[in-house]
Amino acid sequence: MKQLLYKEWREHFKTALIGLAIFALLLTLQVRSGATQLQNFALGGDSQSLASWVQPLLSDALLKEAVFFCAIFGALLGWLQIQAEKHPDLRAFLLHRPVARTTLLWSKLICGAGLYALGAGVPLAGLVIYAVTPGHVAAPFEWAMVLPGLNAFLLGLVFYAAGLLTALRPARWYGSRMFGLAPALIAWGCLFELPEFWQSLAVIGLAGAILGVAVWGGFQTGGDYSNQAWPGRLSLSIVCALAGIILCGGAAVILAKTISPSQPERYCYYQLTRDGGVYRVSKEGLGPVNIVDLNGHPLLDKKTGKTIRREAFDKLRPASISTWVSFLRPWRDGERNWNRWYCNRLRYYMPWQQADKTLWYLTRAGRLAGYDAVTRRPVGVLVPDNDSGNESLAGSRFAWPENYSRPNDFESYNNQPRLLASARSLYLVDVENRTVKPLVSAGQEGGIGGYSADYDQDEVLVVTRDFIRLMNLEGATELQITNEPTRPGGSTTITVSRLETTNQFAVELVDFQRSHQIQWVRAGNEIQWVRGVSDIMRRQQLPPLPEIQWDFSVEQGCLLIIPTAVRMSLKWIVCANFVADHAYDKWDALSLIPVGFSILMGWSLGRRLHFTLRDQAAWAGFNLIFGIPGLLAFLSVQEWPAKAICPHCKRLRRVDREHCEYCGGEFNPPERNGTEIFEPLPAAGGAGTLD
Amino acid sequence: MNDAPVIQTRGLTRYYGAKAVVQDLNLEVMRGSVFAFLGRNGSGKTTAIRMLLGLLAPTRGGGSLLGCDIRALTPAVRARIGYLTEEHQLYGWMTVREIGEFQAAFYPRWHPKIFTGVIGHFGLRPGLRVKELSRGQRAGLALALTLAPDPELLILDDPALGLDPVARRSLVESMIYLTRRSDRTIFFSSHNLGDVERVADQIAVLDYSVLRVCCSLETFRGSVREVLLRFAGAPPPLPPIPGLLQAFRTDHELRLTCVHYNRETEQALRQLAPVSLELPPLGLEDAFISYLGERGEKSFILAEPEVES
Repeated sequence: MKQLLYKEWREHFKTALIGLAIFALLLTLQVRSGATQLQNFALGGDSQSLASWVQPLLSDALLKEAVFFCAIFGALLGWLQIQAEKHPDLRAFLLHRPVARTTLLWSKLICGAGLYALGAGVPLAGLVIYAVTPGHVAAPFEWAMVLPGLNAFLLGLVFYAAGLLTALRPARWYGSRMFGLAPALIAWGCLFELPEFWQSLAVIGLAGAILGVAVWGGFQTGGDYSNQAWPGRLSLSIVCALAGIILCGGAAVILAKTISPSQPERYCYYQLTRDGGVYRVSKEGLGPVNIVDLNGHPLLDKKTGKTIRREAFDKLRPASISTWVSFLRPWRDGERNWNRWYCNRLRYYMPWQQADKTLWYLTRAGRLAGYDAVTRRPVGVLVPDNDSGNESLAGSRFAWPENYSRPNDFESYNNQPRLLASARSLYLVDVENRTVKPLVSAGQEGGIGGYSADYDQDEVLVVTRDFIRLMNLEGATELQITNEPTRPGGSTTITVSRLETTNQFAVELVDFQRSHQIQWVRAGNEIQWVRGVSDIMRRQQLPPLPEIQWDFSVEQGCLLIIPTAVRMSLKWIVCANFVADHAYDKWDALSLIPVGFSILMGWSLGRRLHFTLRDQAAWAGFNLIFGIPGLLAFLSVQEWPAKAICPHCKRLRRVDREHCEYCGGEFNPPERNGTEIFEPLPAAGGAGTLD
Repeated sequence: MNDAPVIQTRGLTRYYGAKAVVQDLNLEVMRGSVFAFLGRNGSGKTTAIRMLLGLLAPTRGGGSLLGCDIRALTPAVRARIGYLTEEHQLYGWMTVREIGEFQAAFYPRWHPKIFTGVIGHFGLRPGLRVKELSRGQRAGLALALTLAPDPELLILDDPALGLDPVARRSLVESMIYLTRRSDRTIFFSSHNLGDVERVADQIAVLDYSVLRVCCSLETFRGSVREVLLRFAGAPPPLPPIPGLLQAFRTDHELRLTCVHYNRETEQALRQLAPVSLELPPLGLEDAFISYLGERGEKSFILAEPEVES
């Protein structure tokens, strides 16, 4: 084993060194790019897109580059480890070692992993050390920020296994040799699309395990399928079926995009006007925009006397301010927030403001942390004022602003303090003077559900469990009405519009309810007309709007090629009963047709090749799960033996079986031509033949 | 001595696509023999050897090596088999010393003296890299790596391929050295019949995937005969002759090569009324070339010039 490890190490050490040099260079360039931007900002330049560079561990560009490199490097290393010994004689020299083939494979894997760690892991470790060391990165650091890079590294190991399999597997069709890459490509696709690290890790682990077993099976037999043990055969079949899913899915999407008609424009919503009127605006396909009042009468243009046009109607909109109100907060109620995935910097901090060469971040601990752009070290922390005693339950922390307009970039200070809320209070935060001034307190039983500010208009809308208040930044109240949150699990959009009559407002409350964990659906719509500060003149529940129906039958028809089991799994994993009305159930049922076709085709081909009943049943089960991609896998992995005429029954029989499938007869020995020279075996110490 | 065959195959067959490369090979090689495996290029020798060593799966049939199924040769059995590949492919980046150390680590019965002796015989310095060696030197190194573990069974796939006469002689001497121990078995394929004649006591011939010959060298030499028939005029057409390999026709002669020449063959030939019938001696190389050459009748009679009227 030691000699084998040494051989592998020596053989591919150069590749690892080249990989190390390239990756280190790529990472250095990326880090330098971020450092240069920070330097420019420190010298007085702007901070545009600085947020995406300042923490290299979470830089999108750097992570993409790292994933790309790790995938290519891993696949290349794995491929080279087999390809270097592809010459039959050299391969024979290796395989004729008096050691088990599993030992030979382990030596390759251990050394390959070590070399991969050298080429890809060392530069990544260097990056982490750089980011951890104070004075390098002017941004908060948590060890969890290392996880995206770690997953990129681990993904490369999956590609390494894919490279091994690609080099090992003899392929019959042009291009099907690349099928081995399919699980790795799927893992790549999932890498940054799953919210949690462990989910990506699970996909990587699963893909790695499938590929690992397929590599083991292939190495035992030199790539032959039929002589492998069943785990190897099953894994290779799954690998090829996954490749089939990618191919079929890609083909279906391209076909759907090519032949499906463009969807007509459809919408329907309520709109207030400055005079306090409520109108329903709707459009269906190529038809005109319908603008009607609640009784269904069209709104006429006062100038022309004709039905008003959309452009003219939009001019009737009142000035308004709105906020999204939810009493669910990720760190309070455990609500899943799909925007804060483990690889997204918003999970750890939000770039907040920049003032006087200091970058301020709202961390997930609910604190504003300032970093000096010149020294790249922390300069201070701002927390909510705890004097009122209101923060005892939620801790002394700022809540995440739901409707912050620039979550990916720093906002300039411009001598303007900004609003931030804790669980129970709204504060005016001045980062330059480092002060936190309470503006609104919701009291012990209340809570800040949402707020919005128009700093130019000196206007703040704040919603608590008890009230809806419109005020200015000095704290003077213009409007305050009672809030009646009816659905604690739901959310509301509240819009306060100033009507043309002085001191009159319209407050529109649109309730939304979570539909099956993912989608917000409109659950109610109410408008209150208010005079003065709190005099509600009128309130009206608006009738429910019709749901827009989209026709995706062409797309769904094309996607029938995706096997039923995979469709259902994807729905279960990704969408979690996404479609409430089960509109697509019929498509799921229809997708059984190609699955049935695959089973029949597989069964028919198996019969023609005289598979055993057990093999037939196994392939039927496989095709039941994987459908058309399963059939592709069947066709690509299965070796098709030649056939010859049976000397006894004269029917075509497989040449790889001792006995005829039809008559049970054996093959005849090769025909004699009268020139044979055989002699009986000598008793000992000589040679001879059996004839 | 154990009388069980060292190599035994039963109906060993391999197809590449629809083409049978080795057909129904039944072979037994006894301990202590030097067995030459002969055939033209593409006749299936290398494929058969790779199947024997479990490096290639047979399409059907099977066999055993040192009593172990060829589909599942254990490391312990492999340690008893030395295998020299056809093109002597080795790791080019290793030095002669390194590759010796690499090989030695796997074989408990490694004999450094044999290794040193053989590489010395081929004039190899331990510090040379394999990629810097000539083909002959590489063959010598491969042979040293094969012999030094002191294998019970030596399988050599055309070991002299591409070697100059001096290197080939060294290789043959090394083989002779090995066969001084009677319990060692050598199974080798070759195109060089001089080498075969020097060291082999048994031969097998694959004729385009089919085993046609398996006997001692003497039997083969005795079975293939050349017959020279002289005629007063043009030789008459040949009747069907059993075992006929080749026939060359000239103006007044008919030169035949056939196997199993016997009284019946002679009677059939005498019916052609030749002026004389001779049986000239036939060397192994000529016998082998006749055996594996193109079958049937050839004519060396020049076409008669057209007579101008």
